[in-house]
Amino acid sequence: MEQIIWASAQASIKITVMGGCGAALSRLSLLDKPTSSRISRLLASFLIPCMLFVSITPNMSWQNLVVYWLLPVALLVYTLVGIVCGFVVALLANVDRDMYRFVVIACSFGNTTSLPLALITSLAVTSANLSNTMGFYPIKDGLPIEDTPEQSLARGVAYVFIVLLVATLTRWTFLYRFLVPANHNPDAPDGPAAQKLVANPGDEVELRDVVDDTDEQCGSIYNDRNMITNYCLDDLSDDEQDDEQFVDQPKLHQLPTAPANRHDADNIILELGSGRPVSHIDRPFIAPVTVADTSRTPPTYSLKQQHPTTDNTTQLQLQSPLPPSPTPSSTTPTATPTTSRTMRVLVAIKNFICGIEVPAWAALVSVICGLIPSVRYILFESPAGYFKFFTDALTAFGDSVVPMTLLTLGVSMSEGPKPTAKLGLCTTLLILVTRLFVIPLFGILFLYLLGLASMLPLGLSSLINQPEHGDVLSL
Amino acid sequence: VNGLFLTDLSVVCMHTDPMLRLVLLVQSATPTAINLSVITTMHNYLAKEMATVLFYQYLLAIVSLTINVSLFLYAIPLL
Repeated sequence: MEQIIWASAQASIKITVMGGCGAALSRLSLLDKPTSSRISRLLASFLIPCMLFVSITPNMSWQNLVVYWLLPVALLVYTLVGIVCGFVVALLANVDRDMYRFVVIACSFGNTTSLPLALITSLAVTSANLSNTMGFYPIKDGLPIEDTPEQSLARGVAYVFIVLLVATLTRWTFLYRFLVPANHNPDAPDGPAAQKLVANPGDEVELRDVVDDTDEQCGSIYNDRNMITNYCLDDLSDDEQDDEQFVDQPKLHQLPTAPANRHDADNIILELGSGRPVSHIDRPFIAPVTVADTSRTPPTYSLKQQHPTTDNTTQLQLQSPLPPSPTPSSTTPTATPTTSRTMRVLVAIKNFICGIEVPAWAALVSVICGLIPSVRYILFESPAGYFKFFTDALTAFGDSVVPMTLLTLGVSMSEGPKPTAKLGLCTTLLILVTRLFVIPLFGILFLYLLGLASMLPLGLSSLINQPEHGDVLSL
Repeated sequence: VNGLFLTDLSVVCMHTDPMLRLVLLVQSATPTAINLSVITTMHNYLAKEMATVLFYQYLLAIVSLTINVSLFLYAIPLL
């Protein structure tokens, strides 16, 4: 009993203290909101993928996935139940319409890794005792053996990482789209680009709104730089009838920020077509001018100069229909449908890629690496350790995920954790009760039902990956 | 839940791993993921609200997890 209190208190207090550091740094103005927003982008596009790779890959194997299919399924079931409960809470608390998604998600997506790991680490002894009293024997080398805390913990860790895989995939695909409404302008309230708006009032706002409206397949606001050219391909291949409107781009750039009519909007999109989608967030990826733009004057083409460096082939395809022109006003687009089939295929592929965020890709890659025994062996299990530099580097980056996340959390909370006007006390309480007391009860019910249906997987093999020397040697 | 499995040497009676049940149950009892704060901060969308909800959840989790996990450990042999 004391063990459990100690474990959960330690985990929660650790989080509170680290968040408090973030708040303190924010008070000391060492960290501010734009910085924390930028750190979040760094986390999502680099640090979290590193963490996922080193944690999922060594714990993955076909055997685990097939035998323990219940883990992902259970997580999905809990999420669905959470979504239903979230809707009930939102209705009960009578929140604003734009808060519905927030409440639903706060109720449905639980902490899948850090807290469970902390808990099972301190409960390993209890679990091993349970195994022995209940008659569960893990099999090692074909023989049933007595369960030990170490064995139990190693199995538990593998279970948690199987869950993490599914959690990552749902979080960075479905949730990512669902939480932030498509027409939300991320820089509007007090974002990092607030200053940018001041510096460059005309085009920024205009373009952003337009892209958010027209962006249907690529609703994700944050784009990996590889995904960015999607817009260009899209526009060149599909919107040929709009090409004539290219002529007057420079003027359109200087339009005021008032909501534009669709005609203007189309023009600006085409302007984007040869440039970048307005992904307001990825300034770090912004790179110097491309060939087509060198002849243009900076003030009018300020946006065009922010092309991301994409791969060269795409860039060439983009620019061939748009030859560099001496003066901006005489741009004459000659997009031809000759390459349209390959273009369309490319567009389809890019749209698909566009729908998935970097962490979800990382999860997929780690599963694939984990499921190929030789790759897993070479990367993580080989005693020679040729790739230790690689995995160690990724581990080091991955280790920074928790502190970084908690610092940004602290910054968001620096003004004191008071329920705001949007999020009343009543809503907060209801979310708390649902997430922490209602859904666990459902968890017990779910497991009870599974037991009745005899659907719980049996411990029929050792879950811990044994180095599979045979496979490597046979290569 | 019992099953029979033929190993190299003998027929062994097996149960579901209690650790598996524990992990399944703990997954349902954890507070909201901190990752959500990354997403909200990234978009500047309800970041403060998310932080507030997370703060109270992790504070209350000290109590709720203790209660829930005790309940789970009590329930695991019975399920």
